Amino acid sequence: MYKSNLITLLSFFLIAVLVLCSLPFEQPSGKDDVIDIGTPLTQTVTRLSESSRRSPHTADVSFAHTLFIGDSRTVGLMEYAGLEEADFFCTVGMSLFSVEEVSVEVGGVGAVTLETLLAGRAYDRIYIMLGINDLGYDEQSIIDQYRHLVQTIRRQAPDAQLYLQANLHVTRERSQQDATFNNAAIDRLNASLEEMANTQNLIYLDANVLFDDGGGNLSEEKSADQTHLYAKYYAQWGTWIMEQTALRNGEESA
Amino acid sequence: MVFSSLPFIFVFMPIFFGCYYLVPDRFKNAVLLIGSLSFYLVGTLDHPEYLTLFLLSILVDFMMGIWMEDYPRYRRVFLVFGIVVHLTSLVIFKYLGFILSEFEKVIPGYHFNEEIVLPIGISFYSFQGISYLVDVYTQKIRPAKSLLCYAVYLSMFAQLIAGPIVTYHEVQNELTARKMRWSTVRQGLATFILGLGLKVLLANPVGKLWTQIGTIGFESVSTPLAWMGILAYTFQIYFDFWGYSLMAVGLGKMLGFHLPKNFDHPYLSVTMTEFWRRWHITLGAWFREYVYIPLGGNRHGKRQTIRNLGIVWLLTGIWHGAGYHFMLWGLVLWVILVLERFWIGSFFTKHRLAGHLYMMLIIPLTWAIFAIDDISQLGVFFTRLFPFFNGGMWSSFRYDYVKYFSLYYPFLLAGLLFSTRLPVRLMNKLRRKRIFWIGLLVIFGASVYCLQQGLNDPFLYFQF
Repeated sequence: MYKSNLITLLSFFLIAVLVLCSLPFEQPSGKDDVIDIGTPLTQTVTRLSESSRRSPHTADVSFAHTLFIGDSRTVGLMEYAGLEEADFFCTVGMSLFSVEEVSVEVGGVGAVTLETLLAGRAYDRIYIMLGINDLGYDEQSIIDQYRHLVQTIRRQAPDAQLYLQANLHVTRERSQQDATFNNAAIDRLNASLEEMANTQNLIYLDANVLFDDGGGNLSEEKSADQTHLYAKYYAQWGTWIMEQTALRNGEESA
Repeated sequence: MVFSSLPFIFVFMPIFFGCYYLVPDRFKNAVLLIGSLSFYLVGTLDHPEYLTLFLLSILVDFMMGIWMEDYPRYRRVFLVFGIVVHLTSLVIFKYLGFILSEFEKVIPGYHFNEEIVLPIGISFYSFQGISYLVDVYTQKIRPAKSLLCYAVYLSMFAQLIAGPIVTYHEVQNELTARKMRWSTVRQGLATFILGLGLKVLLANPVGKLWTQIGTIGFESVSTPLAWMGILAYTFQIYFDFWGYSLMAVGLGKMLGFHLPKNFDHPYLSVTMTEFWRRWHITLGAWFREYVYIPLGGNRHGKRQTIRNLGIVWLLTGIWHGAGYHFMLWGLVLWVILVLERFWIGSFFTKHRLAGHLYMMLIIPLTWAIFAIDDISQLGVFFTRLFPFFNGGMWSSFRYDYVKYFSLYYPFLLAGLLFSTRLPVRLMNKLRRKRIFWIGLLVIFGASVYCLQQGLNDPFLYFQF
């Protein structure tokens, strides 16, 4: 018994020494450098904050012939923004690479593909918000796929005004920990979308101005899971979309 | 490493049990200790010094036990020293961070930025260590003479991380001599698979509804959805913990130990008093044996009984975590238990239907206090559960409860079913038949598939 205790004690001592020796002398900082968010977003923020000072004529905007295409954030708009008249073609996890193939349940229509929906209904405005679920793929292929989608929609709804919505940021905490879904990648994607919008007569809307923390990240207190907004903010977003749409209508008719 | 993970099932278990079953009996404790310490090390890779703390705890308990017997004059000193070591490390690692950040709010100029990470299992092994010291002091047991045996007792991976809280008395015979029977090993494996299924196929999916409601934000959910959500949490926490305890018991059997049962269909209780004899049984037993009874229990009149219950339930609350909502939870339970003891308990025990209805209301409501760590958010959630105070029943998403019911109804119904005795009765009838093992294979396969799909969530009780 005494010998066994000695052996056990010596083993403990050895394990403790090995374990303590494995501790590094310098603790790594463990934090990634906060990546400076590039110019496009700040320019967009300036432009939009200037434009929001003018009074929008939201009463002129009807969403009766409007379609929203997108992923979980668009699902949130559908459920909580109060845009009752609009149609929504969206699912949680919607991808650019399957949006033209999948069949989605659209209220008042049934389960349809995008092509069927566009053939059956005439829309004045189509808002698209996609891309974040595809961030793991090659960035150029995402943009090419987006371009393809825009061309498909244009072909089927030539009279509709198309709006591209920027992908929303994730919180700082998530952005620092996630190699794929981080704000640097989201901003790069959004910058490419803005460029595409500028060259193709699409209107680019960036709602990050409503929900960011001033550092280019989604505000921590606006999300429970570092990614999705609390439902109460979708109403604010819906109103903002209405205001921005009215503003752009006013600019076009001016 | 959690039990419900692919590395544990496909790497640790085969390697460990391969060695364990192959070595002669006299080396089994050594293999078990090495395996358990490796298991612990994997769980504390970011803080390997916690393994040293653990080894130190084992050593302190062992020495105090020996010295209590060898130097009876100083028994009390050794007992107090051992308990203080356990409680000090528990307070430092579990509560100090919370205490200092609260100081930061009241003391101007004081900043507390350190992150104190909780060593895994500390809440469980500290309590086991304290139970050992007290039992040696009261001479309920003789102290362990073999450091290896005591180390195996405290570190045994089956119950190290999340219980059940095992007293030395319960396993002391098996520590020195256990009979390895293949029938027991098979039973253990079956229990393990059933626990795995409860956790991965029931607790994890149903828990997603509660998470979803948190993501939406309590202020935006309708009343029916709020009730569905807290029901989902009620099921998640039960099947999560019951599943994990079953896995622990199953692994214990595979090692040759008979670990105590931790759950006995608690949701069939008719009073909260009965509930806490059926829920986390080993924790309740620990508080009864080592806090309530030494304080005098119910033997010194009504006032002292109420006081003793208050101490036990406040401690039970804070054992679960450092946070005001845990204290509130403990105090609410105390009030309910006192009311039952002196007033309403006998009514519900006699009128069982009323008792079940009473529990169907009280259980989810008390879990809501436990689940929501922000007191103001708790208030918001209660206004959704009881909309007459504010806000109205419906959300801006008018039929949110229809959407989520259609997504989660299989799991909610399964939760109701598995809260009853029916599945266990069915299983006992089929136990000796071939279909039982086919069923286990299906459960195992489905669980592994879900784990592989990344649907594994960390065990809820790990933060304790």
